[in-house]
Amino acid sequence: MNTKKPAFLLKPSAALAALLVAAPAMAVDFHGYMRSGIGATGGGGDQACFQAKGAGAKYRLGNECETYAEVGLGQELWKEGDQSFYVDSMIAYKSNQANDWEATDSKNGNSDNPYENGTSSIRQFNVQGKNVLSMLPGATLWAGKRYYKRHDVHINDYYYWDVSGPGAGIEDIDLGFAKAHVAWMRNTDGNWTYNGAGTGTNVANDTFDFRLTDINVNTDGKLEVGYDYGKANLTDEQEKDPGYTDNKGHLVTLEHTQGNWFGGFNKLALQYGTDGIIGSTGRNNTGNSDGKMIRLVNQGVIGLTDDIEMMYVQIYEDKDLDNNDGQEWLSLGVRPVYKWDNVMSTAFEFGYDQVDPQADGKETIDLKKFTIAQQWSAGRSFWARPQIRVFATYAMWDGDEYNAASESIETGEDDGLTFGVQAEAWW
Amino acid sequence: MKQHFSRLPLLLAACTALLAGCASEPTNLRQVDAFNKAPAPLAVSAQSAQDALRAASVCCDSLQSLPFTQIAPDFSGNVIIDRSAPAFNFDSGKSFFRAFALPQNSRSFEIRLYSQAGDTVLAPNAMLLNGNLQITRLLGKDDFQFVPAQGLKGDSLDARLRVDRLYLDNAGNEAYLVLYTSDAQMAGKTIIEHPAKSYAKARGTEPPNIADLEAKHVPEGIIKMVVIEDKVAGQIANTYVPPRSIGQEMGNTVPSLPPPPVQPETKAFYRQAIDAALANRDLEKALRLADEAARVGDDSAKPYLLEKVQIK
Repeated sequence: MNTKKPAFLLKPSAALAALLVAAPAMAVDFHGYMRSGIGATGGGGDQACFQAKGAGAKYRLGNECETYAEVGLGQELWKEGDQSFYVDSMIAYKSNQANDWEATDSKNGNSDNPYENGTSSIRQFNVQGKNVLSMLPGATLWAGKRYYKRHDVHINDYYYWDVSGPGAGIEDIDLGFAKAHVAWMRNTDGNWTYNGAGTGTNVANDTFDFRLTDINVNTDGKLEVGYDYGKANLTDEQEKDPGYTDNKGHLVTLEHTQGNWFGGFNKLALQYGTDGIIGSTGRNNTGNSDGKMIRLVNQGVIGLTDDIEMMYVQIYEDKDLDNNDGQEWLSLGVRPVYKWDNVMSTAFEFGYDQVDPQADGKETIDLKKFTIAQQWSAGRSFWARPQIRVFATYAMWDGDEYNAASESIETGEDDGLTFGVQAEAWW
Repeated sequence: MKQHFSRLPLLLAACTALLAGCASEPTNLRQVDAFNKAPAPLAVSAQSAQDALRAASVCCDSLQSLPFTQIAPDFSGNVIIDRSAPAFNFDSGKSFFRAFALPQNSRSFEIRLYSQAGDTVLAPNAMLLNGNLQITRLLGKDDFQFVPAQGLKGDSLDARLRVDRLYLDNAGNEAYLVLYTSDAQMAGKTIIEHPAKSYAKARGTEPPNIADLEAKHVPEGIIKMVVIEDKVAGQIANTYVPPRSIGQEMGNTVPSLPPPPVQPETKAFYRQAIDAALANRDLEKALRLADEAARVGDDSAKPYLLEKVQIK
């Protein structure tokens, strides 16, 4: 039934078709993230949020007290054959969600002034040149501020491997058995205040990041290997500082991802780090004590039945520092979600954090958090957003040791109850 | 993790009748896909859908007799192509289908089609026909592209097609749309990005290195269809299509009404006049009379004249 058109009719339309094909490449990609809402604490006051003292993260369902948003715009500005240039950008905003007017130009994002507690941050501005290096077909040359291959755990908002910042690199170099990625990233310590010649100057730190990804190891299983070398990049003046110890660090990461895993996937990461890199997740810090760190992060999302999906995480981190300031951190969390239909679901989240300081005589502390939330989202998936959730959260800890709550709960209390409504979206 | 990508059948509920037409969305908003709620994909098993198609009886023997449903220029709704839909033996294979009569007296418009993908998807074909039910366009695999879920939009195979109404009296104007699928389309499959990867991309984190999901191409599915008419001031200002010919090309013929039957008296009058002209040996006048008779619908005057001339 195909109509055969005379060839001469195709000529102008072919030119038009070429124009139309080019059109989508000119469209602006609008990406972003937001969470915001309102909450209160049982007994009165603004919503308190609960985190074990010293823990690297807190379980986030019904336990986020701020408004946070990221607005990203990206566009492929040029494309010819396989070669293209893509420009990406992102600004992030944060406020205490206390008022209508929360100025983003406040000097301190957590200012006590409830009208001036907002802050904004320039998080990404980079250019990615795909296939522009003729000797490395398929590879991308990039430069600028960038979220660089961050590895996180969603339910406790924990980033265990994150060297993001200003940088440059080449990614997706095809080695056959793996893809290689190299990058030079920057982070800077605040004023170096040691009583020497370098007082009052910032210390620029470099991280050299090498990764091999997409290594096939088993059915539906992939391995990723990473090495980060962090080092301060000292000025002559800082070099002369007699009190300065050049705090380098090494971080090795091994990560295995298993697809087709009980209707979902599992990610197991093992990390070993030394000295300057311990304090963070791949970035070097000069203020750190020397020492060593081992970290294990196991997480996944699985489908228990057609109607129940669950995310889980287990974290064990041991920071063994020469100055005895280290700690062991153990964290366990689950978030099962039961889907009533395509829109409504009920989520339950249990999180447990335990922090055991390295120093003798310091008490081990822990925190348990329970949240139940009724959720309405655009779709059934665990990842479906936008989502609006009505939640109640209960947390308990040892009030004799510390106060786990951000506000509204008196020192000495052992537990807290909060409730509220929160919206979350990414696109 | 069976159903990751289904979306709320909000429009479905509002427009349970296939063609109820939901014009509630403001036009400027609904032009951004991410802000528009997509329906949930149909939950069908590939095997049962194929069996249902095999067993379905064919509704019609030609395109002319398809059951066309009129839609309005502000139509927005969900087209459910399932075993309750009629079936037809298209040249590209047997398929369930829905057939629409497009707005005729509107401004030019765009039709947006989103075939919702979950575990399965109906990979659509679209056929456009002019007022004489002659095919003008056949859209298929290359025209329906997979577009991943974003915001409220679901994973779907999408196409946008523009229908011209610059000259309302142009007989070549496309008047009918048929949505169906084909053997070629059903042989394929659609890869859907794993939602955990979509999340990672939106958040700027490293996507988990896991396989994407597959939607099987099946004979049944749900297609969100939105008609967007050009804005009031837009059409004449935006577009001018220079007229090129009076249009016999590409099968565009002006639909000719059968002339009303000629009265026997008229017929008799022309034959009489032709006879008189011939009697005066005025052959030219006799020919003109025969032509005139043909214009009023009497095709028999010319043979009548020729017969007389041959006898002479």
